[in-house]
Amino acid sequence: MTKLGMAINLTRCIGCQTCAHACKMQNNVPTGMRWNRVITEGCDVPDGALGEYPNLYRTYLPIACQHCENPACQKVCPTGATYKDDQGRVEVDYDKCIGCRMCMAACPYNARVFNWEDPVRDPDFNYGDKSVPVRQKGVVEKCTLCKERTDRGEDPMCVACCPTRARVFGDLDDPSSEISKHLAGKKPTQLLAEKGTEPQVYYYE
Amino acid sequence: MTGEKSLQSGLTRRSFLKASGAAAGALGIAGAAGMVTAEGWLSPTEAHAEPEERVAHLCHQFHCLTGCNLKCTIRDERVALIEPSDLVDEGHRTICLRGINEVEHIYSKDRLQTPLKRVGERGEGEFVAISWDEAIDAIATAINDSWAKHGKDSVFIRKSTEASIGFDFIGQLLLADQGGNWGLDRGQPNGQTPAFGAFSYCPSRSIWEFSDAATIIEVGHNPLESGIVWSRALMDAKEAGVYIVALDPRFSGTASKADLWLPVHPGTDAAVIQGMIRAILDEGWYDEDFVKANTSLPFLVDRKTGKSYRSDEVTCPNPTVVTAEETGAPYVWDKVSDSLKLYSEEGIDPVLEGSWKIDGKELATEFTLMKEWISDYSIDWAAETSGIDRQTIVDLADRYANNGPAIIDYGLGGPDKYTNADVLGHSMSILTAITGNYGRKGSGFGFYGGVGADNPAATLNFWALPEEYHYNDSGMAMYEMPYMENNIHCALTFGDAFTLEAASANDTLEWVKSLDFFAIIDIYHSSAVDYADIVLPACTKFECEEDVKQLRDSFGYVMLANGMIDPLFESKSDLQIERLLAAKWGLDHLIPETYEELAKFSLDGVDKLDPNMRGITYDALLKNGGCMPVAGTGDDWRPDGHADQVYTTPSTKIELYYEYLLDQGHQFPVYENANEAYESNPLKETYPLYFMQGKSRYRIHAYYSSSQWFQEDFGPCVNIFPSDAEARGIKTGDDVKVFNDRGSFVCTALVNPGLQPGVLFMAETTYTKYYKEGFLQNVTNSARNERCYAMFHGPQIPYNDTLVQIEKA
Repeated sequence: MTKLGMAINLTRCIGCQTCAHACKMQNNVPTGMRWNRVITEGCDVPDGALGEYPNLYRTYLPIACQHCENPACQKVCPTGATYKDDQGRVEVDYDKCIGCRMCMAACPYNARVFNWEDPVRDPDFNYGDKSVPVRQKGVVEKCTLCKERTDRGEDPMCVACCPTRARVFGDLDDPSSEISKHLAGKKPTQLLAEKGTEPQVYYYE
Repeated sequence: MTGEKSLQSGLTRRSFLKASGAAAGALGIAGAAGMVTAEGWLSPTEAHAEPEERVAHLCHQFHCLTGCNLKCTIRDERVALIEPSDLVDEGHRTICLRGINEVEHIYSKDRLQTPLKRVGERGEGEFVAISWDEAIDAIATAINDSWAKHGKDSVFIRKSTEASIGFDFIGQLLLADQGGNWGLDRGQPNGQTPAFGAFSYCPSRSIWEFSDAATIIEVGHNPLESGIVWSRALMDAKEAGVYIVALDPRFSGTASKADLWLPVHPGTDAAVIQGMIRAILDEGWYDEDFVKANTSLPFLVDRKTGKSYRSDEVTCPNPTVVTAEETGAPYVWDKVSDSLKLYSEEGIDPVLEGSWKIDGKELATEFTLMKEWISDYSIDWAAETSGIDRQTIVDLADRYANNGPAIIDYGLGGPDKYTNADVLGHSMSILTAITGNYGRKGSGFGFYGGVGADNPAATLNFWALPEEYHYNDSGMAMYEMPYMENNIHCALTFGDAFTLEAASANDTLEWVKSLDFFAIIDIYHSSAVDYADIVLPACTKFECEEDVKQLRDSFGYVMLANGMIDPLFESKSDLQIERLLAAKWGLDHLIPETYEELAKFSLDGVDKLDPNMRGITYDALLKNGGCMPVAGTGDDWRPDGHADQVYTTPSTKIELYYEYLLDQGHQFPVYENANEAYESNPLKETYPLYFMQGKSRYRIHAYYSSSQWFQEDFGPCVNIFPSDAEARGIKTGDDVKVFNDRGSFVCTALVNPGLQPGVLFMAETTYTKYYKEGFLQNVTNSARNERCYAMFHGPQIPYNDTLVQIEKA
């Protein structure tokens, strides 16, 4: 089986937001939405800090769909719009999505966004990859693991653009893949592992 | 409007993600959405059944001193996708959020669309659209009038936008004043240049050697937010186990990745360095062999006059760095013969410490004088002055001197923007030299914002103007013009020079208002536009009337940009704007008609002049994504940089005693407080807070202010420490007024514990329209340090040397 996933090195992640903008551009994500965000962990303000001055620390945490092996979103989808594809990715069939937003409520990662209105874009045209489907009002959307790019054999845009090379993409089931080699011997963590969703996005320091 | 309310709301990996909050949202510019749609480029995408795509390339971005080679997908004549090129070497397959965001920024609502003529008062921003003919006529008339009324030296022309790099014709054709010394980014280099040679602020070692160091000290440098793609080298070093130290009043991105953050008081970095020098000399941690072989410290100095004791007959190999005068070879005391010898004689062993009476003169070594100088500075004084405790300074000195190769990487902002920056540069030079941290693998000192200054330059033909055409500078810097009498009455700037390249904007803009005429050529409605009489819209570097644009020589690479799309709206390329202007005086025949002509001319036959240019032709560049290396260059093109220990100083040694500053008493870097920003300044009673600015990942100077994608994350906001905020009843999201005697502005507060108490931090300026009132340059310090007039780079603008008060607006 193929199980596509991602490994993110939080030591190398400098919180630069390049991945967030690369994703927005590639996937024609409308104004006010992001499929991929980089938060400053535990802080109320971006680029804040934890600890007591002068002993401060800060960790940036990129968050998008975790492409869970056991996706909470899929379980609650009444129409089968959210599905696990043959590459191990969690995808959305926009034609089947009825906009009930059950998946948004179920996702513990807040990874999904919803087109409440007709999407507004700035600049006012469909930017990004032309093979990415344009979503309409009333559907949910989220990180596809750059399905259109990876099906062509390219890395997801967030991986291709990361200035510090903090991200690795690949097949977690293939022991010879770059991602498997990368994770071997490390102690990667998954977000909210206790929820049992079994994310295919791994973080390590 | 959207399913996502917040980008940041106190989330952690354990407990998160459902929370909603408005912290980040509140900082965006409310109501900035709803771009002004222009019909010129907007035809519905749906009109095309199968969108037409093509790919074009350009290198980006001069201000990061890098060459991200961007592969741009043009769809239906719009730049729709930007990603790293796959045609170039790994070092140029880079991008950051700024490159990506151009997809939005090219089309953003602050684009100047047509030529404009002012109708309101200067500063009000009231304009009417006029034709190009009318606008060019108005500029030519104003220049002619100024010449007639005030003389030929009354016209000021400065080019400062990236789009203009590569040629510079119109100012020379009109014999204009370009405003002399820039006063930017050369404060620390002022103190380093005499020691290591001209332009030594760019190290001769590659940034990719960071991983070979044992210790890296980042002095006020924050590459993680400034030249973002360079941070890869620092993260490689971190993974390799290099000990990283960040000296910064602010818990910057770089500080957050460092092993040790030293929250130095603003403007006192030199005290930490001098404390380290003191510890190293007290403990004998200096590298005696290196010091004797490669520095000027054994040279003899006449105690009475303070002058080096030099030969009358034998001259040094090089003229002096600062004054370019020939100078005699210095003497040392030779231990072998126990006699006076020229420093360069074979077989001698110079004595490092001591005093001798010769010819009635009392001579001492520079090393002895250096020890006397440093005896004025105790480590306790350094700790007291800088706020960094004594033991930390001593431990850092120990680590730096005794633990393997070490690098000092400084930034061009931060401590550079205080009047005492040269003291810091000189102090760091001494620290580097006495520990031998130069010219060996994993060691070095300077601004690692790119490859070394002596990276092999491309050989290009230079488009020369007839010799009667040249700039005609009065010698006065632009930043001095508001304060000193001058004959400038008519100004033309490419880009916003007036609010970016000068501090204390109320003074600068008062002067601008007093001019007979001011025209600006800019891409966006920048802060200075509102003060112009005539405004000309330039296009971005992605647009051109032709298929090619700028040819550049950059850090060992030749780069040729594609012209990707036609200029938007009524904008034009800089070259065509220069041609229109030149034509008013019948001079357009002296400059290229097209970018293609200029690029082909520049490359024609260069392989015959320089074998390293073989294969780099106009056609080859277009085929190779517009980016080709000059032979012999590369990421680590000079692994042996300065291994020969030969410097471009008079003696070819690292020269640490600055005789040329004798009149000022600064032969060694006498510590002095910054002009305004220092703890004991009585002004602190009125204005108790330091006001510091620096880079944000969302800006290059003011550039990208108009990006709506960035505005979703970021707007003009001042960071304030929680206790300072609490004392003033300020909360995140509040409108706050920042003020001092020079002026004030109103922006949003962001209460951030990632700072030193007593310090406000704000990212560099943003167009005035995005502030509630005023803008940050209204409060910054424009003082000029008299001592620096004697220096290689002249006085620098001390933007950060600023005290303010803040209150709820």
